[in-house]
Amino acid sequence: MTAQVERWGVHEIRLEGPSEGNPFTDVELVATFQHRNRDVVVDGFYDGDGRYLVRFSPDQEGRWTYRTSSSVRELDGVRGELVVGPPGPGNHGPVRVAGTSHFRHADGTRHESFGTTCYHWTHTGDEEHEERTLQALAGSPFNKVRMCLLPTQNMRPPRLAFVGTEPGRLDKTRFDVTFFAHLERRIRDLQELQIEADLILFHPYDKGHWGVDDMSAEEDRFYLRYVVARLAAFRNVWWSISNEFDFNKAKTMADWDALLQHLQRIDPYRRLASIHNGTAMYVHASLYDFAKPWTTHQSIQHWDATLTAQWRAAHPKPVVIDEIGYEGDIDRRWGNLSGRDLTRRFWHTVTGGGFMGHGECYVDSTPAWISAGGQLVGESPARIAFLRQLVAEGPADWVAAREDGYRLDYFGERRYAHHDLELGEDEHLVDVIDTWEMTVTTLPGTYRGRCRIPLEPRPDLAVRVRRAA
Amino acid sequence: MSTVVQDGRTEVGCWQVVTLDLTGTAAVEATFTGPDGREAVAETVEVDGRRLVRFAPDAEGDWSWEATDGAGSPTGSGGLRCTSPGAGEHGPLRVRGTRFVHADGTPHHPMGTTALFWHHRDGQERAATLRSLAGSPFNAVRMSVLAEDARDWPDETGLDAVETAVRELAGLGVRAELVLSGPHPAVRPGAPGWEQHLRRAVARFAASSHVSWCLALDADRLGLPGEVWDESLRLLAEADAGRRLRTVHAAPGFDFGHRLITHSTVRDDGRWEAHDLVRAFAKPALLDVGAEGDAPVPGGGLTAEELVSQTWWALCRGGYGWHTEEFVERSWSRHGGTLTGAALPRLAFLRGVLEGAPDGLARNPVERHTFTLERPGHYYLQYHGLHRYSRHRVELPEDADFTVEVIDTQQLTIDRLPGTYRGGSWLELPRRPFLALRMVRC
Repeated sequence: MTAQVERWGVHEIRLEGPSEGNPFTDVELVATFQHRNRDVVVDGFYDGDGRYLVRFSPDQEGRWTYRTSSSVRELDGVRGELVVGPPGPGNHGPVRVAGTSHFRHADGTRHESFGTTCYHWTHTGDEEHEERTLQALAGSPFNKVRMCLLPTQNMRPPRLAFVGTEPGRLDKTRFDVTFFAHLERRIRDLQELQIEADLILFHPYDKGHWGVDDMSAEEDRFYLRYVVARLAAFRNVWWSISNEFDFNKAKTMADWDALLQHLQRIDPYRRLASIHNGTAMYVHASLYDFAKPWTTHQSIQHWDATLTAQWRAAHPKPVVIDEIGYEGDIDRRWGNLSGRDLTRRFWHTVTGGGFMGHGECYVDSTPAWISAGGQLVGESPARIAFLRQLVAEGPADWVAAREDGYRLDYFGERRYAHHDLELGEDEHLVDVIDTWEMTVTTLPGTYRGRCRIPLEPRPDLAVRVRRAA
Repeated sequence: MSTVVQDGRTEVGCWQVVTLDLTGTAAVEATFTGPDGREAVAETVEVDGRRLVRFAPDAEGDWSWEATDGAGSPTGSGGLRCTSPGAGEHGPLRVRGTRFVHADGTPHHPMGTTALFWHHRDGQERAATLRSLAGSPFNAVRMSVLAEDARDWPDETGLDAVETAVRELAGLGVRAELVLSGPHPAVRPGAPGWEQHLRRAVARFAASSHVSWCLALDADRLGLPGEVWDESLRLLAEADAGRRLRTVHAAPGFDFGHRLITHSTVRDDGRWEAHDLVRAFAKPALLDVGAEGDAPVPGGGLTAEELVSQTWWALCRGGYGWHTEEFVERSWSRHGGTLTGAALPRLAFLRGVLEGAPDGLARNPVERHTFTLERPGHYYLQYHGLHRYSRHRVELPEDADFTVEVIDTQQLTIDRLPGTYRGGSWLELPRRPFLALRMVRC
């Protein structure tokens, strides 16, 4: 019987095979999916109890055939076909890079990335807490979550990606399939909410405790292969090969290059892939060299949003400031920005043509949102929602649209008495936007030529100019 | 309805072209099913007023085919028998690791040259090109499917000229790397008509086992977003029933890691940056080393000595150099004609050295002081370029004796050093540039 699957959906081939020995290391399983003359080669994976899966997400409608090859006879030479139909409601396909500075879903739907960070929200073992996080996300402006797979030094999670519970003694040749099944359920929950899962595959915060930030190159690849085989088929997955990569003293730049290269090699779908640097706030930021072609976008940690245009000009790849500091009041300066300050940084980034991520860590709201999700108590999310709405109402490329009479000029912490513009011959409508109070006031009449937009001298204003119809 | 195989052939040697003549039917493509159940889809192409499907079976045994119309309804079917390949027939190229091999497993070392529009010249000049190639060490020519300075996609006549040339090259045992687009905005990938052009060219040429595809030259300079390359590679892979090699020619920063690019083709203007390309993308790399000649253009004006030296570097970095020639008076790189440069005998010499080397050569991954191609424990080929050593240290295995030869890559001599060597050894060398060392297990 021919299976039916929607475009960009997930088709799973389930096979029975050996459970003795260590199937994670002993059994090779690969499936080749063919559409017309094009092959897409996908790694299968062991799911415990003698169960082997191949997970595939077709990118074209029509007929696909497949065949498996395996080191084990019962998994080898399995053939079948599937018919891929149009995407279902809410399925716009994966987010991809569009042009040189933006994102778009594969079906052409616009995507402006407004991310947030909940590093370990799936690692608490507390289902109710996870549901609260999903509720908070559902009511938030955020359409991407940065989240880790591996534990940190201070965590005592009930389950880990690898088998084992004792620090330093994890079995890095076996994966905890229950951990992954749970993670997948949460990735699907995010997909239902139209939220991208920016999966952080390595981080430097283990300090050798569990033994997951200083694995050998072979162990790293073994882990990557399993993660990609299990998760790449979900269309809302992005890869962040590491958080604060340069803080990991066990790895060199050559190691990160090789890991990103390897990731591209084994990812059948070329999901968005980048790498996030660390900073000494206000001192230095060691951005990865995004000229390297194995990154799809610029994942940046930096405190200064006004550099966005500079990064855009440096490389023809979208800029995503995944960490700029968090709203909160903790004892670290990266975690005690006011909601107003974080909102300003969002506006600077977005009007500069980039995208930014949010985070929150208040002492009185535990666990911290950035660590484990939960609830959002800060002042910035509502303002970020307002900004996202304004961006959605405007042109898809609001920087390029200046050529067409559109402007979104933001003044941030400055209070100006007026804003002078040269608008040319066409008539324009002008709105004064209060980015904190979230109001849009359209000025009477139209504007053209050299003109002066009167402003109330207070901060947090923006001016939007649109060509009159 | 009768659909006949042209020439009445129902038997065809492996990797040979079989042509279905579907003239007078509504067929748009034919699906071939091989003896192991694998399928390939070849689209029809109009040639001389006939509607043809060209296909080269790649497995011995019985094949069936079914032609279908635009709605997917069958318009005809048939079968053919694929027989064993002819003598000396090794089949199309595939990639194995960072090297090329023929379908039958025979290794292939590319030595290519660029003569983009040679096939659009007059008969005399074309004949000169073919004579030059026949007497050269080259086994591949990079040539354009489009005419010189094209602002339109090629018509049937233009493609006929390419087809004639592709057939002539086959007769010489020279591969045709077909460049599918041009630099003018109207004929770039993604321009109006691109998909139709691509599918038409692929339907015509994909059955020829000595053809490979290059989507564009200087791709990084065309200002096209990544999605154009993604989409073009997808279209090419889906259309190509022959599964020929697919590449894009660009500077080292291009996204050669794309899974549908079989090998990198690098405009090697960052020569020192390029030395890691083979490893970075884990696929073979063809590296432009510039043009021998006197033309004051980027990449031009190289002496034969320099071009040959760069070709050796490319080789010992694990890739392959790619030749061309450009004199102000004669542009081989565009028009072909007669090769007059002094590089040829030295490249032929290099090719001889390479063909005498064992399979499975890879660049030594750890050394820092020079570049060595090796089959560890058996064979080492190391190039020194401009560097003139009086003494030079090599680290050979302890468990065997090795002969050491000094190859003068410009004077074309091979001199064996007296005695044999094992383990870490100091060599006394002749203090000249352009030397290579060949160390072979006794």
